[in-house]
Amino acid sequence: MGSRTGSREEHSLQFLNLTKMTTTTASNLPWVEKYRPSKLDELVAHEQIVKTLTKFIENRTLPHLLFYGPPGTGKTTTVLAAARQMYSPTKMASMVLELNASDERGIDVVRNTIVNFAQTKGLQAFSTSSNTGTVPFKLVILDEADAMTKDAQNALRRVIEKYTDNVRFCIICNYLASIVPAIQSRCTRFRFAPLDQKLIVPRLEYIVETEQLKMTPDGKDALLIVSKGDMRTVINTLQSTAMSFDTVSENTVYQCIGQPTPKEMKEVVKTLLNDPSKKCMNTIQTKLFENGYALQDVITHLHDFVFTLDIPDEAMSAIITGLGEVEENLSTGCSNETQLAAVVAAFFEAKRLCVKEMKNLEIEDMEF
Amino acid sequence: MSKSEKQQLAPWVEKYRPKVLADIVGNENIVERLKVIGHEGNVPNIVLSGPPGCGKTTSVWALARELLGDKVKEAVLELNASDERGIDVVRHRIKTFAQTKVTLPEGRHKIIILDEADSMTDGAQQALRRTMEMYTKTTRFALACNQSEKIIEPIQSRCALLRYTKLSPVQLLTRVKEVAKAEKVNYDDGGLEAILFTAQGDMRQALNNLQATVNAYELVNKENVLKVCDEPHPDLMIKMLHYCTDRKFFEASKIIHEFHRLGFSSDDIVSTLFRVVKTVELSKNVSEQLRMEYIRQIAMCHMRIVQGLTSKLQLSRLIADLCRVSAAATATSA
Repeated sequence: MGSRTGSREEHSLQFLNLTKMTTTTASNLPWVEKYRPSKLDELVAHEQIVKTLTKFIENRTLPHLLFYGPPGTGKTTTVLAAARQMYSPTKMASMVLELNASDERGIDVVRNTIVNFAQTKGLQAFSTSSNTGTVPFKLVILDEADAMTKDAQNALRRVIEKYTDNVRFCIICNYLASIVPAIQSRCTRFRFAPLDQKLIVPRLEYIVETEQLKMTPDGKDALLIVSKGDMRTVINTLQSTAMSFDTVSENTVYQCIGQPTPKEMKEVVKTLLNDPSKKCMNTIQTKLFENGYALQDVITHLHDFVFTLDIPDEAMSAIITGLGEVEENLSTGCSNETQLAAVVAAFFEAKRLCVKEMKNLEIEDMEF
Repeated sequence: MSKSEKQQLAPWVEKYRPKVLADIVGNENIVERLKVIGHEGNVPNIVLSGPPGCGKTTSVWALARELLGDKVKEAVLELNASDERGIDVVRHRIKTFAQTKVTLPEGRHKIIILDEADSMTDGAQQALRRTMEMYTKTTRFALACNQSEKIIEPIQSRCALLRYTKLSPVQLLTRVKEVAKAEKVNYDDGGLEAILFTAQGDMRQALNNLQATVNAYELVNKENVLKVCDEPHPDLMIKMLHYCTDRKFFEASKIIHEFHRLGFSSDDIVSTLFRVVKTVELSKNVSEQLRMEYIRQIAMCHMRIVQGLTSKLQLSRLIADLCRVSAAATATSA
């Protein structure tokens, strides 16, 4: 690394103190970890959830929790921050059990590890000198719970109820449907929505400034668009783009993630709506496939682009139906070349409907 | 920590869990039968099956308390899916308990509660068959499960099957109001209605949602409940359906895209849409035939989602399909 500036050094020292790391310097951490909030009030989003959690903790009435939502929206960060608020640093190790997808997720984990932890009270529950702010129960965090086997989830059902006095559970997953209904019923659910851009921007700018990066306005816009509200994606993409190129711009961001740029998509749609079918096929082959883009990615971008077109609802609907069928076919293993023809056909059907609509308008004009 | 202080800290689902059969809300026929058994004794082997949050485990424990009184701790063995469920458990632990002598009044028996019995291995269930018969004079079994078909037929034939159903909105409302009053909650009718909608017949979920809303806001009203419980908003769903009926594809798509942008999973969006189409009175433009077609298209989309196609494109495709069946219905009626 280059020479350190004052602000960099100051920030690094602060970070080291916070994490008590002695062997790893801050500059070696991925930025998603380096800039992860550690307190509830540092979280940039989910004001409602943080407010509710804070009250639960203050009242010491924390229910079993179920955090779900897309990746990178702060689920794990929130529960760890809440745990830090409930327990002092010295108590964390004995009062919090965290299991995640890198641990065993089978039924034995529930029978042994979790039950053994849940059956015992924390030592401070018996302390006669404990203050009223002390939380009397322990916390089990089951991260990436989608990966738990159904048997393990079923085994968890009675544990959650039976040991309520001793321990509270926080289950974290991406999709609610992967958690069995009996577990959902025992938890209070909190949905973590993708972050609003206006919440991501300040954090993004803070990191850019701290790491002394060059970022253009269209580069920032590109990061926000490709992230879809996922803070982890924003930071990871920023880091990989900054390490690969001197400047974070729209072109470098899209090159880094391997997706077609808006300009390329615009040209493709223009061709699809104006040119003969053979030329359409050739254009997509040369412009997109030979650059390494998958048809699935092309379809996803076409879908978003279609809604910016000024065409009749019926035509728009026909394109969407066609693209939907292509995506379904791709998921069952059909070849890209064959399905490409189906995409072209969908746009031709839309053109036919546009022409039909225009003819209807002409007829109405004549009648009038 | 004093007992009352501990109770004060418990989540409301535990704090207000009924201790006696008379307090149980819902499934009245079953509870009445259990009351008679509780009074007369000679409890049969029973299987209690039903969805989560409808009172199965609560009923078993309440019955055990009424039958056995202060001997409940020594005369009841509870096993659940977190304990061993294999064949060795039946051979040793259950038999040992069944063989143990406990002095009980006439017509009273020891009870073995096998909670979450659908998790038992088939081998263990087979081994249970003979045990149930051998010790029937002294011991009775109560099996609780979500899916009764996972209990093997020979066991079911030795038991009385009690099938629990989801609680009705009226039953949920009665209990939710009691708890709200006891906790001095500020609420209005819209708020409780929203609690019932999000709970879908599950008492546990209803109380959890009530407590979460109270912790986040001073007032339990519709807006606050839907914020905390955070489901796709039914009113927006209805508006979207109206656009579909009028074949306004672009406007309808904007709404479902907004749900997707907010981070609801495709499964949640489609499930809520199904509930809305099924339960809400749509405009007069929607005939019963068209409603059925809508449900069919939603079911097809749900199938694709379950197979892994959870993209925004498939949600747009669903809107396109709904608009298409609306157009077909209009053409037919013309």
